[in-house]
Amino acid sequence: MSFKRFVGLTVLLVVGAILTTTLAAFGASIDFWIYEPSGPAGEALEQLRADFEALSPGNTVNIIPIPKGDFNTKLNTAIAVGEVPDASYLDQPLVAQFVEDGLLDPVPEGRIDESIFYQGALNTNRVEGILYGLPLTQTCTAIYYNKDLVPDIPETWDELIQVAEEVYDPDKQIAAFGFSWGHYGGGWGAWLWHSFVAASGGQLLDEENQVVSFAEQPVIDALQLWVDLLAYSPFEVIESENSFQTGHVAMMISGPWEIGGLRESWPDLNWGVALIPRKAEADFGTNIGGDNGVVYAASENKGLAWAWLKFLTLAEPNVVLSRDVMGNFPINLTVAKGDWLAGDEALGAFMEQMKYAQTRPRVKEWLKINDEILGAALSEALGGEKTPTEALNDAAEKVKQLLGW
Amino acid sequence: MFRDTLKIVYNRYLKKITMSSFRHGESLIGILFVTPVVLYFLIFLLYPVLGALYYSFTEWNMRTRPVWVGLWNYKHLLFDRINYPYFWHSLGVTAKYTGIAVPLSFVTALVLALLINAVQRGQDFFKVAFYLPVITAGAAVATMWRWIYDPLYGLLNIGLKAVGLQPQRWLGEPRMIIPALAIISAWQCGFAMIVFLAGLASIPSRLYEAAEIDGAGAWQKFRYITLPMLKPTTFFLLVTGLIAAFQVFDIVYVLFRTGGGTIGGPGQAGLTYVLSLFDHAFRYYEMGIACAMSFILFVIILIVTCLQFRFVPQSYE
Repeated sequence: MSFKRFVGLTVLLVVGAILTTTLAAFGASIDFWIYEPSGPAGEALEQLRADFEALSPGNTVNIIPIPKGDFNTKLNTAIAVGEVPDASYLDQPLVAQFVEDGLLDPVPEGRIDESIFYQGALNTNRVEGILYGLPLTQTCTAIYYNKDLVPDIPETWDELIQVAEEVYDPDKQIAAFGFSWGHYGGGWGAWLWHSFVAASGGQLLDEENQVVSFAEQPVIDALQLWVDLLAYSPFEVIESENSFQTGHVAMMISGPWEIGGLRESWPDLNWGVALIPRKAEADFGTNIGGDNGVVYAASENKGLAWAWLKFLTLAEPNVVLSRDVMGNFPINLTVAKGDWLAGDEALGAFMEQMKYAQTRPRVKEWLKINDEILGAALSEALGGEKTPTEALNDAAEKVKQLLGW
Repeated sequence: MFRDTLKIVYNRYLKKITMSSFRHGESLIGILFVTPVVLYFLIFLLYPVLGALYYSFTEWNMRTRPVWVGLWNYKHLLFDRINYPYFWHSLGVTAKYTGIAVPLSFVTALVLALLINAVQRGQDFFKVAFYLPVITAGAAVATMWRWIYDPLYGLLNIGLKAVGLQPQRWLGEPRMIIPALAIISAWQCGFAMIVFLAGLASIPSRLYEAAEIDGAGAWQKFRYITLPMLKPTTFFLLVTGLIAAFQVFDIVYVLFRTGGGTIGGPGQAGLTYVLSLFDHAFRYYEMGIACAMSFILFVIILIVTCLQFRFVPQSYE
């Protein structure tokens, strides 16, 4: 080898090494854990990833799909052994627990425009006033009604009771209001009932002032309403499987996950979706569910992780993520009345309902309180063991002791 | 001469060594054969059990390092009704379920075994038919029984109405939930039925023949021959049946958690001990509490089993 060739080769190697190092420094990679989508949903997610990487050349998003049923357990296990992802989906009630454990990175100052979000969805990420994540998709409950049985949709609770009285028919086994099978007690029932608390103008906890509001009048009224509705809604009818679909229940509270099944399996049922009736002097209200995106404090590429999450909340990607990947609703206000609804009245009603969503309390003990105390109080009142006032007073006392408020 | 010398040397010095090597090789092969099961025992049984025992003395949510809290978990499970309101309740539900489900399954299995034993043809068909519920997936069983128990369209209520009885809210009324679960358990008595059949087959026919010569009727033969001769079988089924009943989980999980976060149905009447343990572990992430619950259950089952060994007759005598 001549000296010239040796020098040339050496220069080439050095330049190559510098280039590789520089590119590696610019290019970053993150692991993002998400509920495992299937079929077309997976393809839609892959397209979102490709779109983001095209906007952010050199960077890579590794999507790690995990079956939804195992997601939280696997996430906890991964954290236990130090294999924390850079970013992940996170169930709303877990945000406060993860913050308590010091696992989450707060949303960097000035990174997002808070006004583009549905506030109910955004607030599910707020713990003690600090934002620890971004809402990615959302859902809520509204009222499904049988148009043949309920020609005029009730708007207030007085009208709801009046309609219930009119449609109730013990001979034909038609009940006025359904809570779905087995849902009048336990955590699920408590989550559904929260919608009526929101529509009464009440709230469950005042976290800022550390006050348990269970026993306040609007909350008691919300439970009293369910007890009153039971007079026109016999258990043996509302507990029957698919009682709304078979025409035995005139109205039921549920979420948008019913829509597909109703259209495919019950094409002859004449149904609609309406806002949850409100207490006369209160505004509309509902609960909220859905998923947030969070970035972990241990991530080495927080900047890229936040950029990816922010991308998922932009108008167009968010519609794809919520509609095509997760089967939920967008959290971006600018698409609320967008073309994506395609005139779908049922979806439109849910989008309208979401404007009134009330975030569930964000104390880390909430899941236990919801399941074991609030759910039990509902069960006691609806089962006739206690009056709503007694059940909620007892529940409030227990929660005060549990939270030390 | 040389050959004889070799023989002496071999017998005196080498034979022992060779045999020892052979024995050594044999034991090595033996060890190799049992290694998989020993490793399985150490890694998948002993280590998790010891790990769970350790975690039962810690506060651990899986996300942060476990913190040693001594007997705090045990003390609070037993006495703290604010943080753990359903510990005693779930134990009561499980005891009630065991009290109803085990005898009901026993009687059903014995009756089925006696009936199958009595038929001359098609025994195999009936054995398979009655054993099928045991090998059917718990989720499928629970879904099917939800339909059978449906208050409006369920087969059971339609049957009750047909004979003039009042239909029931099997899975809606708290007082009906445990009997409803026990009925499902009795329907799944195929394993006990097969064991009873084996027990029946082992009773010598000469005993029945002798009894017949002495003029014994069907009831007397059952009372004085069949039942006493089934004592070892009954004892085995009682011990294993109680252990299984104390750990009942899959059916209640599918029946009462379909909406997510529903703990044990109306009035929490179906909140069995292991379902409650599961909630603490995988819904509230209180692994220390869940591990403590599992060891409390272990002690309870141990005591109940010891009592059975002490007081339940195990042999023909």
